[in-house]
Amino acid sequence: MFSNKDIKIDIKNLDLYYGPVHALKGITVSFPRNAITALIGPSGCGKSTLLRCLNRMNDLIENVKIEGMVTLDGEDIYAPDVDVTHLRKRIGMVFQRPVAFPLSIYENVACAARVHGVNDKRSLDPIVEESLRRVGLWDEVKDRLGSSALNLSLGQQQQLCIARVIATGPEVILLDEPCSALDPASTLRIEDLMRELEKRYTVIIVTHSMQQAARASDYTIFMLSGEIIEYGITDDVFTSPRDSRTESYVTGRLG
Amino acid sequence: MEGDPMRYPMRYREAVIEKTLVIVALSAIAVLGLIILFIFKEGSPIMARIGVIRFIAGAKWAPSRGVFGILPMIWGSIWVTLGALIIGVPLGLACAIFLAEMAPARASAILKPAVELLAGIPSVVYGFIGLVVLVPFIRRWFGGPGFSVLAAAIVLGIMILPTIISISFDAFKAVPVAYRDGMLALGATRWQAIRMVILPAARPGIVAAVILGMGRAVGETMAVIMVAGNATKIPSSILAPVRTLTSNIALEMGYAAGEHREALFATGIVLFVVIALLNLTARLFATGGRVAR
Repeated sequence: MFSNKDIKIDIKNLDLYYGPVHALKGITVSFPRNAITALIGPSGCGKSTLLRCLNRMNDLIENVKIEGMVTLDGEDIYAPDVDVTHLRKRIGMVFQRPVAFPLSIYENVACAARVHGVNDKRSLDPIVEESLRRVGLWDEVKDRLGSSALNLSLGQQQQLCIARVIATGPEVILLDEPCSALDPASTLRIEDLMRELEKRYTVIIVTHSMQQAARASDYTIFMLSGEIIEYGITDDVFTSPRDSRTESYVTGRLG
Repeated sequence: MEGDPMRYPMRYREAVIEKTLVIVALSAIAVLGLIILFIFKEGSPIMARIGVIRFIAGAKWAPSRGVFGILPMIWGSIWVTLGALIIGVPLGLACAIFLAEMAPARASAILKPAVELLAGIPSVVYGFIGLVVLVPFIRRWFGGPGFSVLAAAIVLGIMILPTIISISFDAFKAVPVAYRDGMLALGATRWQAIRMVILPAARPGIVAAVILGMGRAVGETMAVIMVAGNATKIPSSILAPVRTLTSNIALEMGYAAGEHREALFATGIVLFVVIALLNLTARLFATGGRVAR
C-alpha cells in the first residue's frame, strides 16, 4: 500500500504469547509516517497489546514471549543491542487514564526532558513552554505552573500527558484509548490536538469508539481475537469494508 | 415477621455481643488512661517543687543528695536517637526501595516477612549481641570504653530497621503502578522513575516511617542499657558513655524511694510528652499529605 519511504513502523509476522495464551497471531502491518492510524476492535482483541509492542512496554510484564519483527525506520527494535530507554524516547506513549504525576504542572513536563539529560532551568523552560503550547494548555496553566497537576481536570491532565511525551522529542506518539476517561468536550479537544500532532509525528491510536476512529484517523486497522481482519484508508474501512466481520463491527452488530 | 422465632433471640445476641465489645474496648482505653494519670500524679509534685525548667535543664543528677536534673539524659536520648536514625533511615529506605521496586515479586514475598520477623526478636538479644560483639569492637578500634553513644546508636539503628522498612515499603506499594509505567514509557530508567516520581509520591509515608522508627528508638530501654555505659554526664563525644531517659528509669526504679522515685516518674512524664508529640506528627504526615487516587 505504501512505498518504503512512507513507512515509519513495519511489523512482520508478530506473535505474542501471555504464558499459554496466544494473544497476537501473525500480525503483519505497516504504519505510515505523519498520519494517524487507528486500531479498533472489541475488548480483548489485542489492539492495546499490539500498541504496547511498539515501545516494548510488554517487556515489563512477566511471562510474555514475542516473536517476529518490528522495525522503526528500518531498524529492528527487538534487536539485542537496542537501548529501550532511547526507543521509548523516540516512541512516546499516552495511557488510557491520564497519569499526572503528583508534582507541579511544570515538573510534570520537565521530568520528561530531565529523563533524557536536560537538567538546567534555562534549557527546560523553553521545552516546557513549547510542549504545553503545542497541546494548547499553555494559556490555561502559564500562571500556575508551580501548582499541583492533580488539580487539573481529567481532560487537562490528558493534554498534560501528551505535552510530557512531546517534551521527550518523540517521532511516534502512541495513544492507548486516550479519551475513554474523558467527557465529550475534552474528547473533542484531544481529537483536534491529534490533527495538529499528525503534522510532526506519526500517531497511532487505540480506540474503542468507532466514531472516534472514523472522525479522527487516516487509516484504520480492525482486529479480532489477536488477528488483523482489515486494514485500509479509514473511509474505505467504514463505508465499504471488504470483510463481513468488519462490516458487522463498524455497523454495531459485533462487539 | 412477628411469628418468626429466629428474630428475637438473634437480635438479643447481637445486642449482648455489641455491649460486651464496647465494655472491653472502653476498659482497655481506661487502663491506658489510668496509667497516664498515675504517672502524672506521681511525677508532677516534684516537677512543681523543683520547677519544670530546672528539672529539665538541670545538668546534674545526684539522687542521694536530692539533686535532680535530667538534661544529661535528654541529651543522651537525643544523641542516641539521632545516631540510630543516621544509621537506620538510609539502610531501611534502600532496603524498602529494593523490596518494593526492584526485587522480583517472589524474592520480596520471602524477604518482607523475614524483615518483619526481625521486629519480633526480643530487645535483650540485640543488646546482648551489642555487648559481646559491638562494644569490644569499638573499644579495640575506636578507643574509649566501648560502652558509648556509637554502640547504642548502631544497635538501635538496626532495631528500627523493621519499622522503617515495612512502613516505607507499604508507602512505595501504595504509589499507583501507573506512575512507574508512565515514567518508564517516557524512556526513564527504573532508578529515574523512583527518584523523580515514586519517592516524592511516597514521601508522606516515608516521613511517617521515620517518625515511628524514631519513637521506637526513643522508647527502647533494655538494649540501650546493655551497651550505652549509662553515665549521667552529657556525652563529650560519640565514644563516651551515655544514659537515656528510659535507661534512667529502668536502672534506678528498683531501689528508688521518696523524692528519688518521684523524680523517675517525672522523667516518665517528659518521655511520655516526647513520644506523644512524635506519634502525633507521624499521624499528621500519614493522613495529611496523602496523594489523591
